[in-house]
Amino acid sequence: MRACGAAIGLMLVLAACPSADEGRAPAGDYLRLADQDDVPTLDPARGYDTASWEFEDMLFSTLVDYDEAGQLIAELATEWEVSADQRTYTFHLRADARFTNGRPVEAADIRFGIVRVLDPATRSPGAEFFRGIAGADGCQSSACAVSGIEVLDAHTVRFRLREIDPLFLHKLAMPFAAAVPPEEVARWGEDFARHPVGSGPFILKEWAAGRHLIFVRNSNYFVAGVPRLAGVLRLVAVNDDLAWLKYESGELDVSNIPPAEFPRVRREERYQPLLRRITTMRTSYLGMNCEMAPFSDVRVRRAMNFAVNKEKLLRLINNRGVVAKAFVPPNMPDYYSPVSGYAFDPDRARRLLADAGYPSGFSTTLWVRSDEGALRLAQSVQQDLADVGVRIRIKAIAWGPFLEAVRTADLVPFFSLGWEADFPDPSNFLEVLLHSKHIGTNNNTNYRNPEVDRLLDAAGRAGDATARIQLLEEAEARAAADAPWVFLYHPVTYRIVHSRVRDFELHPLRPPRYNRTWLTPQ
Amino acid sequence: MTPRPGQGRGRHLTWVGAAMVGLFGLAALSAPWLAPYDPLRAVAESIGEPLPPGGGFLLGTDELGRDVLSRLLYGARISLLVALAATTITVSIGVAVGVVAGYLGGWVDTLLMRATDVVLSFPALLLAIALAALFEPGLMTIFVVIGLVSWTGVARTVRGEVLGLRERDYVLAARSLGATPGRLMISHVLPNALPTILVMGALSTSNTVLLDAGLSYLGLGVPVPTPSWGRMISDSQTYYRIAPWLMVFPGVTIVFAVTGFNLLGYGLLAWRERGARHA
Repeated sequence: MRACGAAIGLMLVLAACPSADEGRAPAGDYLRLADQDDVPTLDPARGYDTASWEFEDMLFSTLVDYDEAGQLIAELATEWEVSADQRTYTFHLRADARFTNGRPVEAADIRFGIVRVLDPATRSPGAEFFRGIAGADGCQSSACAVSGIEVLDAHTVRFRLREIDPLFLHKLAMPFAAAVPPEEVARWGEDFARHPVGSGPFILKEWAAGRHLIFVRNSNYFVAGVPRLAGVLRLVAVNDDLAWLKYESGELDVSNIPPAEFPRVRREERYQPLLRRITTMRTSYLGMNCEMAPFSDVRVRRAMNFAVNKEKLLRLINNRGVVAKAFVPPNMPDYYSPVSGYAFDPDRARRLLADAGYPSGFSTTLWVRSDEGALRLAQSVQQDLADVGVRIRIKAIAWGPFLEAVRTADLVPFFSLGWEADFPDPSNFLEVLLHSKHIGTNNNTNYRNPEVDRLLDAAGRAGDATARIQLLEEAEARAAADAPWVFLYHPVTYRIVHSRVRDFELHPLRPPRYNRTWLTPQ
Repeated sequence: MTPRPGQGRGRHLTWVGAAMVGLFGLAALSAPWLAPYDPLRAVAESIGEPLPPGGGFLLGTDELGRDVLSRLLYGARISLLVALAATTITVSIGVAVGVVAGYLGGWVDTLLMRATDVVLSFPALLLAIALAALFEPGLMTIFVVIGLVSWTGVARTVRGEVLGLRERDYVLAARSLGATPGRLMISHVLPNALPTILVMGALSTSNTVLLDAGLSYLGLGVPVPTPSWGRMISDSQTYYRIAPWLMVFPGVTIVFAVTGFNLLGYGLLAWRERGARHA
C-alpha cells in the first residue's frame, strides 16, 4: 500500500506561476499532466506514495508486473519456477532488456536493487517486504551477502525464502524490487533520485523542481511498440481548479475533476466518453498518534471516531466513495472485514471524552496536505469535533514534507492520509499500517499492540489460506477496537481525458500508466 | 494623495467616507447580534452544494453549509481589528521615524530615510508574504507583518511635514527657552503634525484592509475556520461557476471598506488643505 492524498479534489491556495519554460515545453505527442505538488522522489528504493510510484513505474522495470486487469504477468522475467515447497523461486530474465545507459539488464541488477532496499543506510520504507528472503535479516550494509538471492548466471536469479510467502510475487512487482544499475547509484549517490536510470518505457529528460518534469520515450524499451507516446510532460504547482481550466482549454490531457464541476460533468453528455472511473482498494483516514497524549488513550481515539460525520465528508466530494468502517476496503477479494464500524454519535463521543478525563475536550493540531480538498475535509472535521469540545488547529503543508513529517515520531499528533493497496491482499493494509515493526515507515500512528503483532506474524506464517484470512480478520477486529484511525471513506477515483487521448485506463492496483496510451492528431 | 478635490467636495467626501467606515465598524461591532447564524458551523443541509441567496439565507451558504452573511459580518470584525491594530503599528513606526528624521536631520535623517528606501524597494505584498511565512499564522502575525511593511509612506510624509514645522517661530521660541529635542518633538512638533498623521492613518487603513485580504487570500491570514474576507474569496474559487455569490459578496465588502477609508482619508486631506489655505 502506499500513501495517497486523502481527498479526491486537489487544489491549492497559490495559483501556479506559468513560466516561459512551459511555453516551449514539448507538445504534440506529449501527454500533458499536472498536479499541485512535486514528485517526492524517483528513487525506487525510497518512494512509497502514489505520486512517486506513478513516475517510478515509467522509469524502472521489475521481474513481474500487473496487466491492465491487475493480474501478475512477466516483465523483466520471461518465466519462473517455484519449487515444490514453495520456498524457492527461480527467474529467467529476458536477454533484450537494457538500461537507458545502454548496458544490458542482468540478474545481478535485480539482486543489487533488493539488497539496496534492505541496506539500512538506504532508509527504504520497503525493506520489510524482503525480510523473508534467507539471509536478509542480517543485512547491515550495501555489501551484505543476502544468501537467499543467488545470481546463477547473467540471466538467472534465484530467491530462497525462510518461510512460505504467498505474496512474494506481488512484492517483486513493487518498484522496490526494480532492476537498478549499481554504476549509476555509485555515480550519483543520494542524487540518484534526481538522475534515475532504469529499464522502463520512459527516460527522465528534465526535472525542474517545483515547475515540471519531462519524460521522453525510451526507444530501446524491450516491449515492441511500447510506449506509443513521444513523452510525458508533468506540470507542478497546478491545483485542481487550475488543472480544470487548463483541461477545458485543451492544455491538459488528463485531469482531476474539482468537486464544484463534478455534478455538471456527470450530467453532461459530451463528457461521458471522456470520463475514467475506477474503484481502487483505498481507505482515507485520520491518523492519531498513539504515543502522543491525548491520543494515547483508546477512549479518546474511539470518541474521535464517534464524533466525525463521515456522510458529510462524502457529500463534500460529491459522494465519490463509500463510508469506511475499518482498515480494509470492502472490495478486497476473498476477505470479509469483521468490523461494524463507528456510527456518528456525538453524545457517545462526549461521554467517552469525559471518561478519559477530558470533559471539556482538548486542543490539538490536524496536519493535512495543503490542497483545497484536504482543507475542506479538515474544516468539516473541525466543525464536528468542535461539537464535542475538541478544538482543532489545521496545519497544511505540501505533500513531500507532509509525508516526511508523519513518518517522524512524536511530531504529528493527528493527520489526514489515505492508503491504497499495492497488491490485492488484506495484509497490505493490516501488516504495513498496524504492525509495530512498521513504525517509522508506514505505521504512522505508532500503533503498537503485541496481540495484533502476534496475529499478523501468525498470518504471515500460515500456510493455509483460510486460516490466514481468519487470523487477519481477528487482527483487524482488534486493531479497529483500538481505533488508531478515524475511518473516513473508501474513495472512487475519477479522471477526465482530452478527446485526443486513446487507450488510457485507470489501473486497479497502481497509479495510471501511460505505456499504451497514444494521442490522435488534432 | 495626489488628487486635489475641490473645496466643496472635501466636506462631502469626508462625510460619505465617515458614514461608510461607520457602517463597517457598526457591522463589525454588532456582528454577534446581527449575524443570523453561527459563522463557524454548518447551518444548512447544503454540504458540497452551496445554496444561492434567498430563502432562509439572505446571502446564501458556502460549500460547508455555513451562512455567508454571518461569515461576512464576523469577517468584518477580523478586518476591523486588523485595520486598527496594524494601522496603529504602521502609524507609530512611521511617525517615530518621520519625526526623528525630520527634526534631527543630518546623518540621522540620512540613515532613517535610506532605511525607509530599502523597505520601500521591496514590493509590500512580497515582503509581507515572506514575513508571514516565517511566523505561526495568527492575528498577531498579521498585525506585525502589515505594520512592518507599510510604515514607509507615513514616515516620508511626516518627515516632510516636520521639516517645515521645525522652522516655525513657536518651535524656535521653545528651543531658545532651552527645551530639549525630545520635548520639542513631542510637545511642539507632533501635535502640529497631527492633522497630517490623521490623514495618513485613514489612508493607510485602506491599504491595511487590502493587504490583510491579500494575505488571507493567499492562505497566510487568520487560520481556518475563523472567517476572513480574503480567505472567503480564495475558498470560493472552486465554486465560482456554480456559486458566484461566494466570491462576489466578500469582494463587495472589501471594496466597500477600502473605498470608505480612502474617501475619509482624501476628504480629510482636502479639508485640511483648505483649512491651511484659509489660515
